[in-house]
This record gives sequence, C-alpha cells and structure tokens, in this order.
Amino acid sequence: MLNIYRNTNEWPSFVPFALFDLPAPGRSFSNLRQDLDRVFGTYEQSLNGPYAQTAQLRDSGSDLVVTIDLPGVSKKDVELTISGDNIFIRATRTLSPPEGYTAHRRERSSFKFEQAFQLPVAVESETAIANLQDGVLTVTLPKSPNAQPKQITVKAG
Amino acid sequence: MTQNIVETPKTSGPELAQRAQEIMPPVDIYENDHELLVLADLPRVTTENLTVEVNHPELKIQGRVPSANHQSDIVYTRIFRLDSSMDVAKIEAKISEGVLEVHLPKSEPYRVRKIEVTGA
Repeated sequence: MLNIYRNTNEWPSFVPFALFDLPAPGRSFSNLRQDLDRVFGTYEQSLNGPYAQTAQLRDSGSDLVVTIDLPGVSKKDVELTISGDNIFIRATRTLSPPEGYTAHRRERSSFKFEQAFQLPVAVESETAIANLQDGVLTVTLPKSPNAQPKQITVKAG
Repeated sequence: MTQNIVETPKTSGPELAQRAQEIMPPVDIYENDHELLVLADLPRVTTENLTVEVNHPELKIQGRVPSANHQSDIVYTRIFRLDSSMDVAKIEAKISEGVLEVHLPKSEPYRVRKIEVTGA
C-alpha cells in the first residue's frame, strides 16, 4: 500500500475540495509525484480494500478460527454455510448517503463479499459459533474429535 | 464544494518508530445545514484503542488494532484540517460495527438559515 505524505506548508491557503484532491493551480511541480501517489493510492485501495477483506484462517489447537473484516455490515446481511469441511461466507454492505446530507467525499464503498473454501480438517458444524463484533466476523469451528491435537508420549526403548 | 475540512499530511510521529502496519482507512464526508459528518471504516478498533483528537485546526482520527506481540499492530490514521466554522467544543464521536461517526456541528454564524420574506 502506498503511504501518502504531504508537507503542510505546501498547501495553498485554500484548496478546492475536489475528487482526489488534484493539484490546485499554481502548486509547484514537485508535488506531482505526491499527487500521483495519492490518486493511485486511493485507486489501489479501491481495488484491494484497505482492510483484510479476505477471510483469515487460524488454528487455535482445538478450534479453527475464521475471521474477516466487515465494517458496517449488520448481522442480517451475513450468510454462513458450513457443510462437511466446506465453509461459505457471503456478506453484503449497501451504503447510501444519510438523509438530508450532501456528500463531499465517498471513499467507503458498498460491497458484496463471497468466499468459499475447504477447511484443512473436519469440524463440528453443530457447535460452531459465529460472532459479529467491532466490524469483524469471527467463526469458531471446533475440530472433530479425530482432528483434535493429541500428545503422544515417547517411550524409551 | 466545501473548504471547511481538508486533508492534511500525516507527519512522522513516535508511533512510526514501532513496527506497525499503517493504513489509511476509507472515509466519507457528508454535510448538511447544521454539521459535517465524517464516517470511517475502522474494523477491529475498540473505544480503548481509538482517539479522535481536535488540536485546532487539525482533526486527527487514529485507531490501533493491537496484535499479540505488538509486532504486527495495525494503525489507522486520517488527519483533516478544519476551518473556523466548526464548533470544536461540540464535536461528538461514536463507533459501532467498526464504523466511526464524527459529528462536527457548525458554529452558529455558519449555519444555513432560511429567512422568511414577508410582503409589504
């Protein structure tokens, strides 16, 4: 991800509040690089999303934990299907400007997220827990008894 | 178009010295007759790790997502410069479902008022 840095004293006293903050007339050419970084940085973010909008899988020993960042998504807009060792997550976010307001900047976007993947071990789907908090979906999938970690004592020969 | 809130650069602070992933969270800015409304996506950020700071003329939004070893923390930062039309004392912020809402009320002289025109 591109980081955008700018020097405060490079700002003209008034900057038109334009899309991408393109350079105001009279700004020095040395700002061009920063401006380009800024435009394409924003563009890059719009393609990839600035946060972890891909599911992350973690093995906590007895459980598999799937997390995904879904800011502004409410519970009713999340669909979760587990069948055998397959998991399917669908989430939608539909944004509209708040009533009575005009928009000056809209970087946050509506999205439809869909991801299906195969889990590395069998899980107990009946006891799976899904929790949506602080804009993060966390799915805790207990491993099936056969997949639980076991410690094997090594005997001396 | 408005000039009452413009983005300013992020200056290197002590937090850059630590190993953290710097992220510019996406932001929406809306305006009505009474206020500016700033919305920012800050997933995983809780109130304890969130600062919304007005050090006139700067409005700084910063949220941290701590990691177990502090080696891969995520730091979300956006800084805007406000003009003097905002009533700084009345700025309010709340976060829910990972979305931060900052309400910046306009000070009295800058509010839009409709004046009734009376006939003679």
